[in-house]
Amino acid sequence: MELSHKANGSYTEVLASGRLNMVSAPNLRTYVDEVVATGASRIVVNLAQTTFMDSSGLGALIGCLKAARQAGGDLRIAAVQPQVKMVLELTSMDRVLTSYASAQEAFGNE
Amino acid sequence: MTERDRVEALHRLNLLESSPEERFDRITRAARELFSVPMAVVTLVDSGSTVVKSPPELHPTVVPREESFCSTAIAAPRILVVPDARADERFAGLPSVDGSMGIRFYAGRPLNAGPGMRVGTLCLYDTRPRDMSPEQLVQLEELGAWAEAELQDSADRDRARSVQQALMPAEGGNGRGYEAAGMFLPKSEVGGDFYSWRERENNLCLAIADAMGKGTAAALMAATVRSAILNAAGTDPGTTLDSASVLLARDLEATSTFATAFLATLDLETGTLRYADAGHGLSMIVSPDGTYTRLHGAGLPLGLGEPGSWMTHTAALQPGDTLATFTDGVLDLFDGSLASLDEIAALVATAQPAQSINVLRRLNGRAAPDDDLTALIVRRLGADATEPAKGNGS
Repeated sequence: MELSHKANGSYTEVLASGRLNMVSAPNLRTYVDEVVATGASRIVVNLAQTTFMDSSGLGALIGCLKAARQAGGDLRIAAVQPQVKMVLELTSMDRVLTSYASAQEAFGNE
Repeated sequence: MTERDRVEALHRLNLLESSPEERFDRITRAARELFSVPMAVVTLVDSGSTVVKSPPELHPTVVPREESFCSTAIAAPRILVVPDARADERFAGLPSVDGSMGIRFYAGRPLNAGPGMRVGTLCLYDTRPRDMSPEQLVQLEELGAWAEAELQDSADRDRARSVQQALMPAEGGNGRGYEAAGMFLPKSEVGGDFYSWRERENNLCLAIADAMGKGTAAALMAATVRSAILNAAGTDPGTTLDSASVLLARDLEATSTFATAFLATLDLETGTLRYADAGHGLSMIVSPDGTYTRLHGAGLPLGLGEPGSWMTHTAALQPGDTLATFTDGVLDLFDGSLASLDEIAALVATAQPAQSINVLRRLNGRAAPDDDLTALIVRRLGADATEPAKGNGS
């Protein structure tokens, strides 16, 4: 999984590409923690190029969400692909991890 | 310790029938390089034969035990060094020495499955006579200890697998008016799922759960979740999830994990099914004609939802209907998407639960999916027969 990020004014976009599984999940977790540590607490994880997510990947996203909220911000996800969408719906976690069509829309009105 | 104990210890490792394994192959590669020998081998010495476990190009060579150096090497706990086999009457007549292979040098370090249980060797062969320096003996001892640790790890993992499988219900749950069958096929030796069924007065209490992740860490959490759910079990599934979530709150928080679960209580007389879902999402009632209704409770997984958030829902399991609940690994036996539910429904609609489980096991053997697979299938039998009701004039 490849990770990168860029500050977009009111939020920071983290682009995660590849498979978000037991191997890569800790990397995402650490990566977002480091972004949050720089003072950015409004995070959008862009999942447009995340082709697969398992329970460990979901656990990492939840960990990142907690970290962002503890820092006074929030974490949202964008451009979710079909398999990831299925995992979110099956676990009912689509109620907790709000998904937006694009990174721009995630914090669009705030 | 007798020869029988030794052979039993070897068989318990389940290594004789297994494929080549990189964890042994990297040791034989290292040994071949380090000692500049043409062959470095991990062997297993069975009652009548010696079997090559590694390297893969020699796997699985089997030679009669009496024709192998290793049989002699495991007789004593020390490294056996044979500088020139042709000059050693114990080995001069072996086919590998006398024949076209022309082995002259052998050094073998016995591998213990447990104290005194020498079940194999890490050994070196050369086609010219040579000797081992004191430094080389130390190096072979160290590599041997490494191979031995891998061997004993197999035994440990195998025990873990047996223990975890023993936590699942026994095969063939046939009770009053229902048939139940389940399977738990972890991707490796152990995994993060469990299922259970228990009769309780007039009810059949069912549970399936999937702890985050795979492997040993997930297995530890699955055992923890199982114990909390079985301890909390009342007759109301939603309340059971509430209580289990309280019991588990600290552990799930400390490990940054969560678990999905589906709990149900089937009234064996009326067929009323009361269920609650904690992020499991993959349960359905299948009619004999293959149509199905998904049971989706919309509750969050344990560790993420708050106590009090899990609702008990009610559905009816008619005579002949089948309840199927499974973890998402089962979808990967088909196309991985929710379209797989149609195929799973068609599979379980008319077959007996145990037959459906066998089909899933076979598919698993072929697909080798990258996940733990768990399924629990319960059929409510026809009201007046032991056979499932089907084709009721429809």
